[in-house]
Amino acid sequence: MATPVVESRRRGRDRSNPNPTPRRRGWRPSTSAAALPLALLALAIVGGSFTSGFFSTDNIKSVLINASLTGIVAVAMTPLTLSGNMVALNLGSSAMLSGILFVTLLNHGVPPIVAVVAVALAMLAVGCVQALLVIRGLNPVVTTLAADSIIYGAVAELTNLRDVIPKHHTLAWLGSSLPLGVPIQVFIFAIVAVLVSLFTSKTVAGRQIILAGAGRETAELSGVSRPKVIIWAFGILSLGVAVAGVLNAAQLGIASSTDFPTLTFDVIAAVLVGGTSFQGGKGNPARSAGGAILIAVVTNIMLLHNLSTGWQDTGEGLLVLVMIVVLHVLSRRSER
Amino acid sequence: MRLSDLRDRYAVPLVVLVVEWLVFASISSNFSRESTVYAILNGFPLIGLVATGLAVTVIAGELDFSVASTAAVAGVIAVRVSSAGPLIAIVVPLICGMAYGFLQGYVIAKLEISSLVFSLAMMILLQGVAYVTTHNSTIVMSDLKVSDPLLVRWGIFSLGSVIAIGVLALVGAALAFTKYGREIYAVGGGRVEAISAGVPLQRPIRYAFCISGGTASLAGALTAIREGSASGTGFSTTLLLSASAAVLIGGIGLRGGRGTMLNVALGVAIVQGLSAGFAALYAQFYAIQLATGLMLFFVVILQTFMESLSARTRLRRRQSVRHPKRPVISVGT
Repeated sequence: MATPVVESRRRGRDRSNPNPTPRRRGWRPSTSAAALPLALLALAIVGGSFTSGFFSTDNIKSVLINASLTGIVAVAMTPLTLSGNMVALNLGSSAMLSGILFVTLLNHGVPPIVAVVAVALAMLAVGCVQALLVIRGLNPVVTTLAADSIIYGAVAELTNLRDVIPKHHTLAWLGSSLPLGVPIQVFIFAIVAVLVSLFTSKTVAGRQIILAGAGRETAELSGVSRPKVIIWAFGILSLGVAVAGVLNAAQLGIASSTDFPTLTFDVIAAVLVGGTSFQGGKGNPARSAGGAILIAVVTNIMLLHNLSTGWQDTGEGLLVLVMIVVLHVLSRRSER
Repeated sequence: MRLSDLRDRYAVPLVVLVVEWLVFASISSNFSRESTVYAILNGFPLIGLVATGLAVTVIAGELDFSVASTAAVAGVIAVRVSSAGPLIAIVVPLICGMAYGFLQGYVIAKLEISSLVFSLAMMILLQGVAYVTTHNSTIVMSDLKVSDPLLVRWGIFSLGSVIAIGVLALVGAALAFTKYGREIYAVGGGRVEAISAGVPLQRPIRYAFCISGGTASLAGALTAIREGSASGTGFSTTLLLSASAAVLIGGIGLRGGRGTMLNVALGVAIVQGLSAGFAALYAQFYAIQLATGLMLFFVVILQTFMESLSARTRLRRRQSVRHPKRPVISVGT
């Protein structure tokens, strides 16, 4: 009954493309797909040759560890972005909540495996509530913005801003374990990246997510269920956030409501640098993983040159700016 | 303007504001009308001005995520030039901010790039600039007397809130009554139709971002001068969150082309009223954040419900005019 309203809402959301002519979107090999790996390679070579200590094993390991938590969430958020629902703004508070939940459950004597599963289920529930609101017609950015305030406020209220410390045992066995000689964070980052990439490229639900983002009308006419797409996207994001929260708590051996202050915008930056389109339909999770690593490399090189965090932020912003402008110009050129 | 239009625009935020006021007045023992109004108005120089700029870009169908970082950099500039007197310390950051906003709007309009994405990058970049220019610490004005004019209180008003409300009214009038303002509404409400009707696309976008850069800078400068200091962390993402909450609660939908500066004023009053009310109850800042989040959910859900309700009555009214040739509006699947 509300079809005219929905129509205008759709037109409104696509407003960055004022060009009224219909354009083909979707999977196409283009010059922009090659831009990120090339930039990454060039940076690594330039940075390595000018910076002493960059190519040492320890440094590369620390770069990958720094990239992994942001990377896990960036990869997990990519389906949401691909589905045309832009970004979630509650990443920092949700990851913080899962870390606190994990340590609290352990303190109540819950076995670690059960605790991880319980955290994952709890985050899925939080994600599903938001997904249902988005399905009912609320804007995803507004929904997650409100959820961010609520989650942060509620956790801070319950913990009184105090740290949650593991009582019975340390978490070092998990936080600093080295399966196959790789730090656990990096190991899980790789697994998550491969799994989510396979999900978006090989499964029906994943393909439907991309289709829904590429053209909503076409997707609906083809029988793609919008609620299903949104539930999948929020579900995967929630699982990724749960994993990042648990890993962070394990690594630091402590959880507090001040964790992850910059996660939300770091993740958005990683997805942007990876070149996944905010309009949806274009991009893939592997590129977001690449974006997270690229940002970590640039930050690391600046750190090795003794530049302050201010310069590192400025560098990150410049990198995002250059990448989005380059990718935008390239993709426009390939459309002509 | 029909009464039903007024109701659709302002009823929800107005009712929410009145209910909020009554609730706090009844449960809070040390509730004082004058000091609450003063506290609410005192939110206008910071949250109100930032929300004004954000709202103008939202009305233009764009989004300026960089407002909070712009305010941070403007605060640093204001402190750096404060030795030349309060007027210079306000005007210099304002001009810088308007120039920056104009440039940002120019690039966004020229490249036809998503403003959400572009301003996100600018947000990270300017946050870094704010850190670099303050050397990661708090910088203090050399002459603290410069703050004096902004600390004077006249009843419920202060100089800051008078300036902020004046700017809000000015922007509102410019949007409503000038050709350039109507163009901003046009490209936000129906871009394709606006272009077909001959509205230039780039000019309104440049002006919208120019306004958002200017108001954000004014907010940063006024706050920095009042406090006598500025720091890179001064306005973190919480400012962006409360400003966007104010815009959304006030009833400016993200769809573009809708809402007036009165919506912004109502939204800011609601958000700031929550902080003032909770502060009178000695609540912590995170309780205020929790309440703001819940309020945002509540108001947005209420607005969505009201919209579908009014769309339904409009449809019924249209269908009740029995016209044999009128096509029945198809119902979506």
